Amino acid sequence: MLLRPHREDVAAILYYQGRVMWLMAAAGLIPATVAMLASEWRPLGWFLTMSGVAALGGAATDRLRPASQLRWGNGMVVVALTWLLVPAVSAIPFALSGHFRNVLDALFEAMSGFTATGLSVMADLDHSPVSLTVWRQTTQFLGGQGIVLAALTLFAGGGILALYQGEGRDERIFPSVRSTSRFIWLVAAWHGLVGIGILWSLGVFHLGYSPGRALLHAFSIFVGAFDTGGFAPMSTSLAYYRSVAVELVTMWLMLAGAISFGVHYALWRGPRRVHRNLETRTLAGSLAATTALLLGGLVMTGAYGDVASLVRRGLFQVLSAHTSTGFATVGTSDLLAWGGLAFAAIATAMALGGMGSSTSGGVKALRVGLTLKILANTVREVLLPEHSVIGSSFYQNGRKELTDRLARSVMAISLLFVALYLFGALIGLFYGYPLDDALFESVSAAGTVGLSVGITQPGMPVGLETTYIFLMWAGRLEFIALFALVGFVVAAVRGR
Amino acid sequence: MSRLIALVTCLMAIPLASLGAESSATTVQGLLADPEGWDGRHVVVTGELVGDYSFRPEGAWIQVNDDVYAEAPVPAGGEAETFNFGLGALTPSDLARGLPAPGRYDRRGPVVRLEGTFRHSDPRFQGETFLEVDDILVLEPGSSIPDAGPDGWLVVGGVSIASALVIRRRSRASRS
Repeated sequence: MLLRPHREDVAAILYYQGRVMWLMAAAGLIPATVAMLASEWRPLGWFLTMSGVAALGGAATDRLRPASQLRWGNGMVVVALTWLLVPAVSAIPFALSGHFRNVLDALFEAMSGFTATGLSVMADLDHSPVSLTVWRQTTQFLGGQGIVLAALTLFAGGGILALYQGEGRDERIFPSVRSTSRFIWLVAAWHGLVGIGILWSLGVFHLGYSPGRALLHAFSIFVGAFDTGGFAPMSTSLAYYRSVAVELVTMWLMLAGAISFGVHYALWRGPRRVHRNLETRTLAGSLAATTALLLGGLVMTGAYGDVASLVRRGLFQVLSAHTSTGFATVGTSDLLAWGGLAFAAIATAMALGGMGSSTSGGVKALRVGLTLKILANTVREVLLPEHSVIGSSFYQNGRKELTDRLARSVMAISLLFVALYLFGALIGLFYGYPLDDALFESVSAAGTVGLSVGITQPGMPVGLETTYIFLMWAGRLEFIALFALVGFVVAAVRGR
Repeated sequence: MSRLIALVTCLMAIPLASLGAESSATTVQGLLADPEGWDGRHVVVTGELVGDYSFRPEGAWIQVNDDVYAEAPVPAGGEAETFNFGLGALTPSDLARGLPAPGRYDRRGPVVRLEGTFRHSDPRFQGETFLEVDDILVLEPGSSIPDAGPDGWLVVGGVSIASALVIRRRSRASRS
């Protein structure tokens, strides 16, 4: 029997939404401060308005503090709703800026930012205020790190494990979620200090930018790369810099972003046996395979006449796709011209994604590795005599049993990702785009990557834009929280 | 005398004729739509310089945007319509040094006419696509875009933040 949620359930959900809204109110003060420093007075009003709306949302739910811990199911609903509400509130500065054709475009940009996708419909990016650029990047940072996780670190309450897992993280590095979340921030801070430091130095001494401009570029590239978001401060993405050094640092940051925080922890404590992990091996294998496919494809089409061009363009692009970052050093027309094998390699890399419990999207390496293992076992079952016993285990921070339950769960999520990719492609086909383009863009949105073949643009069809917003949301949440929300709504309507 | 005038006229006409024959006026969108077709051709592109000028040993890298915002940037009241259409250009440093400041939020950059050779996937720069400039003509020097100053949204924001803090204080007081 379906049980209608109690009033206390709704109150608890709203209360935690309010906590996140307070975080958003505080986050809005970052670009507001930048606006004041840069004498951008009009944008200052946009950010204060956003902060004000978020703060009112937080204040309105302050009285609803639950007496008991948040239940797992309610926690999932909080996460799913948060990832709808937060982009809606943070779209306010975008909508007021005039850089978007309509409110839906502003919402698209905000969802793309928070899900660390990087698809953009922003018009005249090259004339955007510094404060708006900082806000655009901040959405990626908060989203990549986990908005709810960020709120927990500041306003932790009971029952936070569900919230943590709802954001697509299933790995606890420390016994407590709070300590784990602190470690995640520490990793980001360390990479931020080093990454921004190197990029700023390159900006000033290699590219010849002023210190202030170099800082803006360094911050933007760091956030775009480490949080695998892919928003760049200029319309020509990473191609703007025309620098091998900048690309190399970006590649390091993208890879660091796509590695799980568990691996970061292991590396932090000294050389560990992370190379034995199924996840590490799968990521290394799929990265090698897609790179080989891409380079082979480029050789076949003769896109580049020399090895250096081939390696520089190919490696960057495949890493950007596989880590689900979406930075580009080649134009859309070049990407389309790569054609066939190379194009398929990029799409495959986007679909697979990085490691679990990282900032990247896609199916994720551990699920891919386990899916291959399950398939291999199935083949073995067919080939071996009928009563053969096939034990199955895998190494992931220790030897683990591949149980039927785990296998079902892995296969279900992997299939749901494939279904999501195909659903987006079907909608693209409906709007008249060729199959390969529609599939590429759909995978890019659902895998939260951000590379585009030109379908995503200001003024794109409303239906397609709404579909991509849904794909980014569902892909980031990895379905569980989404199903919990649907279940909650159904129970509220039809339950007793 | 008339022979001399005819000769001078002919001599002056040669470079103009060759310019007409070899240089094609085009757009950034046109170049990027068919980069292979334009590769190695001498072209003329007109647009706004934006972003940063990056002076390096090989020359100065600049970005030219050939879009509706070159005329009317969004901060100056232009309508949001499309993406920017930008192309990187490598210019001799001495040509770039005298250029007015590039376009940004608070500034409409100089509108220039760039003449040079379009390079697609150039092996000298490991596959860069850009315009190798040999002449720049500044058509308009650019202008500052004044910030409109605080508007109604600043008041809305301030009032809503203050209201939220009052509500928060009251709810805390009632709880305690």
